Amino acid sequence: MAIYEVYSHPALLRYKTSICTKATLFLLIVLGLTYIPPLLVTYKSQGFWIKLSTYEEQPVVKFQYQILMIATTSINGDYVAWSTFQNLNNLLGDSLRIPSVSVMEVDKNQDGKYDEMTFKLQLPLQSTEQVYSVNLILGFSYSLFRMSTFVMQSMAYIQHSSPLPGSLLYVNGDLKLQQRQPLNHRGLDTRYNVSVINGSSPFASAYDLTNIIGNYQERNVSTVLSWPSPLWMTGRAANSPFVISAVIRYPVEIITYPFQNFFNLFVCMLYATCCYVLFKSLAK
Amino acid sequence: MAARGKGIPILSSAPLEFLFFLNTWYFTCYFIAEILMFIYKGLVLPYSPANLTLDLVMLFLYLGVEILRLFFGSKGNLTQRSLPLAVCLTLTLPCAMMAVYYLLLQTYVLRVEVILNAILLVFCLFEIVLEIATLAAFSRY
Amino acid sequence: MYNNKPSRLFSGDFYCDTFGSQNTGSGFISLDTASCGGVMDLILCLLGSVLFFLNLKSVFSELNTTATESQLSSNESSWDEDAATQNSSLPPFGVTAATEEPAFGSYSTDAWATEAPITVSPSLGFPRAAPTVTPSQPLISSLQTPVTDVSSLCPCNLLENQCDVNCCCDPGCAEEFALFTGCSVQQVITDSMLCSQTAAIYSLNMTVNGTMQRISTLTNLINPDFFCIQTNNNAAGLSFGTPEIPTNGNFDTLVKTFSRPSFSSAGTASSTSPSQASGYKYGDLIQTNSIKGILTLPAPAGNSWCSNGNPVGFLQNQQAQCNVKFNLATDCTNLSSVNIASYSNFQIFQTPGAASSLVNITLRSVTLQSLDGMRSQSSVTNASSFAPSVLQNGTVCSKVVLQVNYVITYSEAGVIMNAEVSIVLGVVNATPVQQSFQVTFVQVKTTSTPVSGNPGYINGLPLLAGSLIAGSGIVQSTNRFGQLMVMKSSSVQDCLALPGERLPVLFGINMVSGCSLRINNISNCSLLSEQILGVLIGSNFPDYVASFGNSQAQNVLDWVQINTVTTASSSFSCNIPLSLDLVIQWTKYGSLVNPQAQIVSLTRKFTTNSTALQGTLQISSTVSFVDVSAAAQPGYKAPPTIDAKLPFDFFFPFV
Repeated sequence: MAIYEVYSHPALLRYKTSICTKATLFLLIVLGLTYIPPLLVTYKSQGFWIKLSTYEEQPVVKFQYQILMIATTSINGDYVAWSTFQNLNNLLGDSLRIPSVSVMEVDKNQDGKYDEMTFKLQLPLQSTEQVYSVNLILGFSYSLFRMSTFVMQSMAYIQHSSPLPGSLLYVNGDLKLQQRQPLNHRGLDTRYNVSVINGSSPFASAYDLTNIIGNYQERNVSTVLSWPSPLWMTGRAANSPFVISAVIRYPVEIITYPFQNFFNLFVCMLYATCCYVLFKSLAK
Repeated sequence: MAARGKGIPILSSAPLEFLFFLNTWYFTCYFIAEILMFIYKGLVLPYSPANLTLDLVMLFLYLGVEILRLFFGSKGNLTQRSLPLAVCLTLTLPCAMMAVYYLLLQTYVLRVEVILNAILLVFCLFEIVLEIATLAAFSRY
Repeated sequence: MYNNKPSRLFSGDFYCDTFGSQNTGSGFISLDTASCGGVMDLILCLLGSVLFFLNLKSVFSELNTTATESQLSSNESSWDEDAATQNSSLPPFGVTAATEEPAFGSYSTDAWATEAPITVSPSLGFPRAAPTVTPSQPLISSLQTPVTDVSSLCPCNLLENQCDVNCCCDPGCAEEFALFTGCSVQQVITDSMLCSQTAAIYSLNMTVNGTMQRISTLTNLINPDFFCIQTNNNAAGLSFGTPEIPTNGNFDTLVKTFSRPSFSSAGTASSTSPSQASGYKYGDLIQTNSIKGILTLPAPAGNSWCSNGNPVGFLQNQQAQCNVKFNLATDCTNLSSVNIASYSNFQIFQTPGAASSLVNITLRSVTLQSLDGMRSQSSVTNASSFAPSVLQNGTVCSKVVLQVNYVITYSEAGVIMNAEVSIVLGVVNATPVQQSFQVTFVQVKTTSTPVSGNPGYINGLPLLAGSLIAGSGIVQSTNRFGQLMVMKSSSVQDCLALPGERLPVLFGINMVSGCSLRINNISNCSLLSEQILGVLIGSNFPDYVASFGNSQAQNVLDWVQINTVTTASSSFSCNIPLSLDLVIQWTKYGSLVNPQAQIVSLTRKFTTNSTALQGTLQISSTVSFVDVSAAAQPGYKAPPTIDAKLPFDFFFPFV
């Protein structure tokens, strides 16, 4: 029953014919079918030369404890401001109002990367002051590691104004990545690892919001806080502070990168080889 | 070959050879599956490097011992010689112990691994029984 | 072909070489195990077994030490007292969304009572986070033994000896279950990756009597996942590792390794220590003997209000406009930022360092501006005579600083040689007031004439224009922003009452501005037409415009004459120009790699009215830049078309 191979020798049979016969025609047709359809199939399936592909990754986002806050306290444009940059605070003079700030970053799913940040700023106000608009800049560091090691300093800009004097501004949103160009597929990318606000400069031009936001939007890769309309609550008691409360999530991002066609070519060739083998065996 | 009259009866055990054949294929798939499983476990579960290295080295040793065992078993069974079959029998015991290790004692045992190793253990048990019977058959002649 | 030798248990024979020489004929020993008999087999299998058993032994010994040796740190000396607790390392208990109340504000009242019920696990599975640094307390005698039994773990039990609301696992609750609406903690498990684990499940149930009953069961949860962990032989894998205890010796390295940004590490003021060198360097703060100690120039910081502390950096030209708000009646005389003295009443140190000599700030010019915007130069006298004063019963403040322009001359060594300031003082009757400040650094003994491009115009720089004077070339205005200007819209929309301020034409920037003209009754048509023309083209409209950004005034051929085109006057009684369109045609000149902009022609187009004059008319002035560059690549002529026309009765018999 069991067949154990004891001895074998190959036998070669050759069939020859002249050129203008049906056999040659069949051979040519089969040759064509062997080589061309696999290429056509791979081309048509859009898998031949992919330029852009995406991958998912949870970024490592850390709040850099850089805060710049400007609040207008009257309809004539009077303002109070505060920041974590000592040089800017020195420039503000009497308009400096130092608040109480509390920040908490949480890692909810215990994967070692923060998922959410809760920010609360309590701005003390005098009874004659009312807050009509708030400009807030928060600085973060944003890193991706899966393909290229991408490290950048980014920011979230929150701005809201209302003709009604407010008591609370509540913002709840995601810090989303905005790419104008695909990221690299390997290597180190730290071209945006520069703080958004140059805190070491004593000159007022470094804290000009149009410059800061203009330079930030020049970047090809940046983050933006995406949130539905913020909540502006009115009705503040005379001696209670104005509260800015923000919950910022760091979601999983889908990142585009240039697809490495070298590997795709390998897979494509493999695929083509399989088709070739199939057709060849069929032809035989 | 000279005619030997009545001819030597065939003592090779067909079920044993069948088991060896299946075992070869099964062990190939098992090995590949175990490698992939270790990659998965190494990435997801917390391993100390010593534990992971030990488990992997044991797996490769298992591969070597199993190849030897199956080769000797098949050879002994087909050529109807007792020595290789006895070697195979002695190697089957360590193989069974390795299967038990991967079933119960390794650092993290996944459910899939339980199933795979249980099947290997069943193979080993059946082969032990059949090898003893075949050895008995060989030694009578 | 080998002869099949009968098998023997121990062959002990060496058939190797005979077989080798027989078959291959090459004379070397072929180590074919099949032919060398059982010896090689025996050696190999003995070797294998020895190795195998050695490994097995090491496996068993290693298993015993895994739990104890895996995460021990090097600092074992301080842990001698805690040797008993080392085997069960410290698991932090489940900090999930339900147990951690959002501790801010008053918005957390029912935050987790109304949330979807959650699962809490006591030791959160597989540690991927960095271990936490325990506070550096003195040697602890004993740590709390961590609780790993799911039945005795209740994370919502926060009040001792009292019942927590909606906490079904609270042992302090006996009869209060009727008051609960649900269970905040429904399930306590050890790890979700295990195949089977004991779980404590809490739920509320309505009994037949109508009372609420708390049901707590200990069940075996089966994980349906195919890749769940059936057996876990690594107990240390379920808990966090023990961290390094900070002592005086390793505190700094631990801080360096583990520190993250926080409020303490941010916002240290940069102390720019004055360099003791012999001259200022780029960006250095310029030291003065004023109260502030450095030269400051108000600039907007974050918004449009003036910030008085903005320093001036050496060789950093600054220009800014900002607003200042003050009470006209009370602050007019005592606010320093509107007083001329605060901009000129101090001296500048020539080089950094207290030992250097001082340079006076000379008042180059003082311009007085009236309420309606008319400026007049004042004779330069002592700055003290220009102090601001309140007029007209506190509604008007005069001699308020509106514009400050510093020109600081420096030498190549970084020594400040001279400082001049030009100030515009004005009369204001409304706050806030916009002030503009500028500082320019000029190197000594150089006259720099800034150009608008080299050689092609650069976007945003002003056009160079002038008038041709026979014999001396092109004469331009000294202010390069004032050589070609157009009308500027102002709050006074009436064209006949426009203030004289005009906008410079900048290369590449299209503009439009205008004013409105109310026609009541046209008394003198030609006078009105002249007035509107004056408003549109201003005074001293140039004749020639430079074709390149750096055209020299002497090379007249580099300049392009300005053409004027007037639309044909229609047959109305009164024709006045309604709009002035400056169309500047420019082309890209030079190599494709670095094209330079060259002005080809500048045309003024006046459009007169096409309807009868009545009502309110809009007078507008526009500037358009048109790129007339020829295409860089060769174009192909259109293929010739056969323009044959057949006579209509060609197909006579059939048409």
